[in-house]
Amino acid sequence: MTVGIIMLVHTALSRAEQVARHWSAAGCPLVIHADVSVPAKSFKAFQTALSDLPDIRFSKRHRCEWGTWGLVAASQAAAQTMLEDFPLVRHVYLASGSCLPLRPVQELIDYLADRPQTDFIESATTADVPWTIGGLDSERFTLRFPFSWRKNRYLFDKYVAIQRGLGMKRRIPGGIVPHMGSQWWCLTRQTLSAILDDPERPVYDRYFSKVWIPDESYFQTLARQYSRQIESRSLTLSKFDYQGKPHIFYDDHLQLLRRSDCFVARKIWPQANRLYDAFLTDAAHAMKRTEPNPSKIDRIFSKAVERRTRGRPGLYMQSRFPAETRENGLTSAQYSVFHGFSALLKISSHGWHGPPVRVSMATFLHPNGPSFPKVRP
Amino acid sequence: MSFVQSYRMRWRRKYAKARSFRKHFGLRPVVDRTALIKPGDVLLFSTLRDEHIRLPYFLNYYRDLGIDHFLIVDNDSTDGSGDYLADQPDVSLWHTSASYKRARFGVDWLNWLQSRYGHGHWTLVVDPDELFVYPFCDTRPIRALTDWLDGSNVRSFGAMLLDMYPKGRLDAVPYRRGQNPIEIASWFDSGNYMIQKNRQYGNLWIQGGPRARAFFPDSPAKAPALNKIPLVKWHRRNAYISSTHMLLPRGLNLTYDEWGGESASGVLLHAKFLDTFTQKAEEEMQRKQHYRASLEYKAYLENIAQTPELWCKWSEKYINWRQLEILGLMSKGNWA
Repeated sequence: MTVGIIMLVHTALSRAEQVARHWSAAGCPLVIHADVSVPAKSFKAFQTALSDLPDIRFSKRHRCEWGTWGLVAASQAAAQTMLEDFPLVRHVYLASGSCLPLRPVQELIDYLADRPQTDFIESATTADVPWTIGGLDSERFTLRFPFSWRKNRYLFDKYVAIQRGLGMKRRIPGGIVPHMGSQWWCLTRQTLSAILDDPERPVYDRYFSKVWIPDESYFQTLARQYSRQIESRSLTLSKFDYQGKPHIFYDDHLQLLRRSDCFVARKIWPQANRLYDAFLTDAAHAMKRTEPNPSKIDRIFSKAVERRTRGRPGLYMQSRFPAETRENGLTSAQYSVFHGFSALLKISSHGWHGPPVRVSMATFLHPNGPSFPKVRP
Repeated sequence: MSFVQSYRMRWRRKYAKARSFRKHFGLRPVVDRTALIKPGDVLLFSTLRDEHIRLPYFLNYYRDLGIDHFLIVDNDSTDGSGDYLADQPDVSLWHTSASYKRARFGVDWLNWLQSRYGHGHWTLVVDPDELFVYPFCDTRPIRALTDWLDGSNVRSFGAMLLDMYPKGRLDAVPYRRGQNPIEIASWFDSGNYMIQKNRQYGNLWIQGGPRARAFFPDSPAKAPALNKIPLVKWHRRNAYISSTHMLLPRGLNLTYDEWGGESASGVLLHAKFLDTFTQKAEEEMQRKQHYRASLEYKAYLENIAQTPELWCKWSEKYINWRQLEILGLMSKGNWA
């Protein structure tokens, strides 16, 4: 019994090849899906380069634009091939060309062999998680999204507004409760073949093909129908920014990735040579039999999101110029400086009216925000 | 923004393009290695005059960041800059003896070269005394930044000019060829900057720093602009309008966030104030080829030429980009 790897690739094919060899060296059968947008010439070269590997297949190619059905169709086709051609595969791991195994593949195989019935797929209802990219959560499942969010934002937004205005709602096919989660899963043969061979599949496929970002909900929802045991987490470490784009890992993340104890990370910058060298060759250093713990490295990524969306209070600078009311706190109020009175008037240390001027300055300019002294009338 | 205003901007852009076309006839190619440029290369554009002493460090600094090709206009140097540059394997060089001022301080020349060779590339426009610093520049090449910007659908990246100066007299320590100028000019002003929005073009206008306080103590509004947008994914329709301070189309000037968050940004370390500055000031006063009849050099000669020192007790010593990030002069944005 072993683990089959599905790889979805679209760019940086030489890195994809390197990682494919790494999986294959550990005895994992591979099914590779290359995006239609990969030019025929590079695809041919890629195929030839990998032709010496045993147990490798290339599945039917689809167009995989972010947030569209193509990604699901590609995964389905590849999974079908995997289940049919490699009967010894018990778990199927969905990965991408920019994924990098952080721990020796044998550890992953052992880990899954110890949990033969478990499906690892992050899967939560919209009520459980507050992901609202583009202000949509439960509406992902009740509206239609024929326009691309990336390429046709105007039409996308308008069509959503029209549907909201008219109160249009799609019926969710009977029996399923929409779940969402990371698109990188690892499912058992049983669960996966139940999903793919379901007599109702055409109904589900038709429904999900108009859902927004179906690759984050198709398998996540249907796995709930069939799985005997779900662990609602992804074995692939991936962090997302405030727009739902994955954060990219670079050479300087090496120690951070080591600390995460995760099996696979995504997404790696193709030219991060140090990362590829360290994790694809240096097995001895990576060996550690512990539970994956992605939360160890959460801090820097959640701080990045915070910085991009809220920024530092009171800061005005070249890349932060908040509109009024969006300052997220001010550290200074408007103030006036009066200068030169000593030349005109004699003012006692108690000032004209109210507190001495110097004290007022100190309370106007303070890192915790301005405060105003109480002035007696 | 009304239709009329948009249309006016369109004509300004067209005018800048036409100007750059007209001015390019004054450029004579010396060495053209542009055939070496590959798709996806990051290109550096610069115009210079008599900067031979700075060039070795300048070129190496940017080679280390991962610049693939340099496209340089030599404005009639007499100190051997031209010969030195012509020998470099990754430099394409043009020569001109035309007026720097009448080419709008070099903008027209570079606009033309960028349209011709920069289309579809990330282009960095810097002077030989400007060192580009961006988040993680000590561990990630510039290509990592531009790939990330591409992935985020961002086409331009701002980097404020940060004037660097030595402690003590500007002419106390002579600069040696090949030396990192920041070893000498290692101090900067951390927080005396004024910022406002240019409603017409949408860019931010930043002034302040040592030049405002030392050269223009009584008229800080005349101090030079420090906002810059040096790194742009170039499209042949783009045009710099005023130095690298602003561009058209206006969308490229929106390198900042107005909803309270921080976009990513960098800094251009401006190592102008070395011992070479004092003699340059005299010379430029004669030539009057700089902005506003070399107002800045004039102000320098009037205000501090006797005791040329910019350092003060609030000056901050430069350590690295993280320090600038903490001080709020630049930001990582959501790049982590």
